[in-house]
This record gives sequence, structure tokens and C-alpha cells, in this order.
Amino acid sequence: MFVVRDDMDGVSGMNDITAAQRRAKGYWFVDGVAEMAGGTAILLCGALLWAAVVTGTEWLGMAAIAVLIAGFPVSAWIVRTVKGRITYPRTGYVGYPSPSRARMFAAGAIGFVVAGLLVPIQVAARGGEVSAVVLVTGAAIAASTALRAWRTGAPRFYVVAAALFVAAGILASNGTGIQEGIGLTLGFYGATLMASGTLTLMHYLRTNRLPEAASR
Amino acid sequence: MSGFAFDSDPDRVIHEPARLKVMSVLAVVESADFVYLQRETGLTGGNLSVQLTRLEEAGYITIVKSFVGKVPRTLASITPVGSAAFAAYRRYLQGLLGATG
Repeated sequence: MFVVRDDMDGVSGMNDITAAQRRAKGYWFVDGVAEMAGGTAILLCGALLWAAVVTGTEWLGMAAIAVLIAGFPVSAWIVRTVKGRITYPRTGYVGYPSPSRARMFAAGAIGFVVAGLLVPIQVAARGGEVSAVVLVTGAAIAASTALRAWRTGAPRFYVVAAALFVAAGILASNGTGIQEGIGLTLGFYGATLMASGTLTLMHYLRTNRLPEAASR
Repeated sequence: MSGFAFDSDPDRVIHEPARLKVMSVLAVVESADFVYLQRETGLTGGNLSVQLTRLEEAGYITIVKSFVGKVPRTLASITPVGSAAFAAYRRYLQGLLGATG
């Protein structure tokens, strides 16, 4: 994804150009559909993780991992289909380049490092009342959500990130177990995304009527 | 001395405000359709068509017309030549700004 540069703002009209670029980059999230679909997958994953602990059913934990792996391609397909019916006829289509290999590698490396850090953090925090893994997991997801807010210029993601960070802090300070805590954290994150997406979609549909002449 | 050549001209194809806006959008996405570009530029359909044709003639964008179901879709994408021209245009403006303070 491109980084919006503000170094041309001094030129007359460049604020408009920068704003147009930011809108184009954030257009994927303009209708809230992607949040609703992604949030559903994350909520389901979190609920399964939590249920696996509460009921002592091991396969539910495996099912959560399966949802995590399969959920995103499926939700991406759903999002494209829904956008084709709702968004593109109303406000147009924008296509995005596939992430480069370097970018995917960097994302994977960051995830690997964060996951690798969780073990020593939890060992160091052993005996304490705060579940460090839950706190770090929540903080990492909140940070990535805040980064998305900055990149897309959609301030609602800052609210989601802040709410998630607070929720993870509360769960961690309550001494919630790791799997249960991560399940609840993911569940809260998914539910928050769904709520945010639903509100965004309602606003989008209210402010963007389907043109009578559907010529594109 | 800034090294900026004041006798040089900006790329006239991109310098026109409507075309600049189209190029700015297409520079950060893979493609955008006519509906989106019309909303972004605020141009009439006819005027946008003229501007897109001008950019296409300069080799800066490609335009692909297709159908989504029974609805026609006009999709515009920036070309490597267009990307280079847009980058050069940005450098020109930055140089101008640097030279004039």
C-alpha cells in the first residue's frame, strides 16, 4: 500500500490532491462491508477459542484456527460480492494492487516476531496477576488497527483500537487465562468491528442513493 | 542556488487540474472506474471522457471498457509511462517550491 505523502501541500490545490489520494486508498472501507465480514470471522474465531476453554472441548480450538485460516479468503469473496451489488453501482469501483512479496514477507516476519516474543514475556510475567500474553496480543492488534486508521484516514478505526486496548487491559488485569483471554479479546475486537461496520454501512446507504440510470 | 530551471515547463498534460486529479487517484490504486473518477473530479461525464481520452492519447493511462452483467464499466489504470510522468511532475513542483521558498 502506498503511503500518502503530504510534502506537496504547500502548492495551491495540493491539499485536494492529497485528500483525493487518501480517499482512494481508504475506499475499500468506505461502506463498512469489509469490517462486518472480517469482524464476523474474528468474532467466530474468538468465540470458538473461548468455548474450547469453557467447555473443555479441544477440537473447538482447532476449529478456531481453521476459521482463522479459511475465514479471510471466504470473507474477502463475500465482501467483493456485496460491494458489487451495493457499493460499485453507487459510488464506483476502485481496484487495488495485490500486496508485494516484500510486503507480505514483512507482515509475516512481524507476526512471527510478535508471536515469538509472547513466550518469554509470559515466562517473565509468571506469578504476576496480569496476563501479559493477552495484553500484548490486544496491544498488537490495536496498534495494527490504529495504523490502518492512519493509512486510510478513517478515524473510526482509532476508536476501535482504543476500545480493544482497554478491553485487553481489563482482561489481562483480571488474570484471565491465555487462551480464554485471547478468545475474549478477539471476540471483542470482532464484535467492535461488526458494530463499526454496521454503523458505517447504514450511513453509507443513507448518503449514497442508487442512481436511477445505472450507466457506469 | 537551488538548481531549479525556471525556464522549464511542467508537463502540460498533467498540469491541467482535472487531469492532475485523475492522475493523482490512479497513481495510488490499480484501477478506478468512470463513476468513481467522476465523483472525485466533480466533472460532467462528457468533460471527464475528454480528459481521460487526452491522458490515454499521451500514453499515461489505459482505458478498458467492459460489462458487469448488463451494465457497462469503463476502467482506467495508470501506465508505467504515466507513473514516471506523474513522478516527474511531482519532482518539478517540489523543485519549484524549494527554489521559491
